[in-house]
Amino acid sequence: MNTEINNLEDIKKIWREMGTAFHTESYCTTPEALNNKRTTLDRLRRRYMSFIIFSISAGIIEFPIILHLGSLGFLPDNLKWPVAISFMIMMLIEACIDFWFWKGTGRICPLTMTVSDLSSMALYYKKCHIKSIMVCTPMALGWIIFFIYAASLANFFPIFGIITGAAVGLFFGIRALKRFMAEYKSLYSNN
Amino acid sequence: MTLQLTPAQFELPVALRLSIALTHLQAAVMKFAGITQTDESESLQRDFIELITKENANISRICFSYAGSVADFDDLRQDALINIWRGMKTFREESSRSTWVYRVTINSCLSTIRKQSRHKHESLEQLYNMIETDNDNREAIEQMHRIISTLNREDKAIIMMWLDEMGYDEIAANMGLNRNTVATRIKRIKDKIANKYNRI
Repeated sequence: MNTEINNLEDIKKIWREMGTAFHTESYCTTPEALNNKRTTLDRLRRRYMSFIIFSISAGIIEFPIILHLGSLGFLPDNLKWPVAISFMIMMLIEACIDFWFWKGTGRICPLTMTVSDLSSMALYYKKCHIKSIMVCTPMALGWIIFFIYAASLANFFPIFGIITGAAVGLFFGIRALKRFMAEYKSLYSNN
Repeated sequence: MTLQLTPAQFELPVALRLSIALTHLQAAVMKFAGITQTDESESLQRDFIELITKENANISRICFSYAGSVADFDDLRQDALINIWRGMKTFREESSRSTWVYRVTINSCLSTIRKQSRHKHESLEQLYNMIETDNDNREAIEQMHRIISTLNREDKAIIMMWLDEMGYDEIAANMGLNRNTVATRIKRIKDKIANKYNRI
């Protein structure tokens, strides 16, 4: 076979012959086993659902904790209610955003949609996901700065706890941010 | 065939008696028609295996074209098989099975946008090593994969369908575009490939 690609007919010929060049033992011989498997899209939706549950739980659980921290002198008395309510609202907003993604990605159906519709929808939700990170990241950073400030008003152990938490959070946050920037770059450069 | 309830069943509430009678009726009808639930699911499984055996070349080529690594290829292929299996039960024969499998496979590849691997070069090398063919053919396939990789996701789908010698109407139906748009895009893709490689 002429291995140089000199025209589109060559590409056609290579394309046709390529079909037989893959390992055939990767056939699925137990289709019923596929009933228990999840596609990448299913796993993505599951992740959104996990974040919804996490955000709502964090908002509810943290509410009394923040109030209690206020009573320990960790937060000034006049700030504990606004801080607790703001934190809860932020978590609810995040839960709503994730719910919107969960609902929206549920409409993506590889079986019934045309290629063009599915491609636009997938791209749309991916871009929205990236924009939501751009919105949520400053909110999260704002909270970290606030807690560091509040901790500076208290004694050593809460400061130590806050710094440890902030360091761990920053580590994962920066990692997520780097991944997000790489995805953003690949998404907007290739489409 | 009998639809009679036992004396004990006559003691039960009316709704429950009706439900039991309907279950007997359903079983009797299925027996009369020669269909059992086990037969139906076995025949579906056989159909599925026959279908993916026949369409293996198409499924593999499409997943290979969208993959950037062996892991990607495996994921894309598995997603395609899962979606095809799910769709088997509800497939309505609005298009040929082959065209349907083609579209579902492309849609499975497009339904999630994958991150690019940090070690792109090594990932692609491993992907190309998967191909069972001689060195000359492998080089040609690598070159073709690189050419197709420069296209955006939708253009990849269009050019793959064109390479598989689908008609413009069929491509338009799969893509959800009109025929003239497909013709224009194919021309643009060919020009892009020609300009990029300067040999065509």
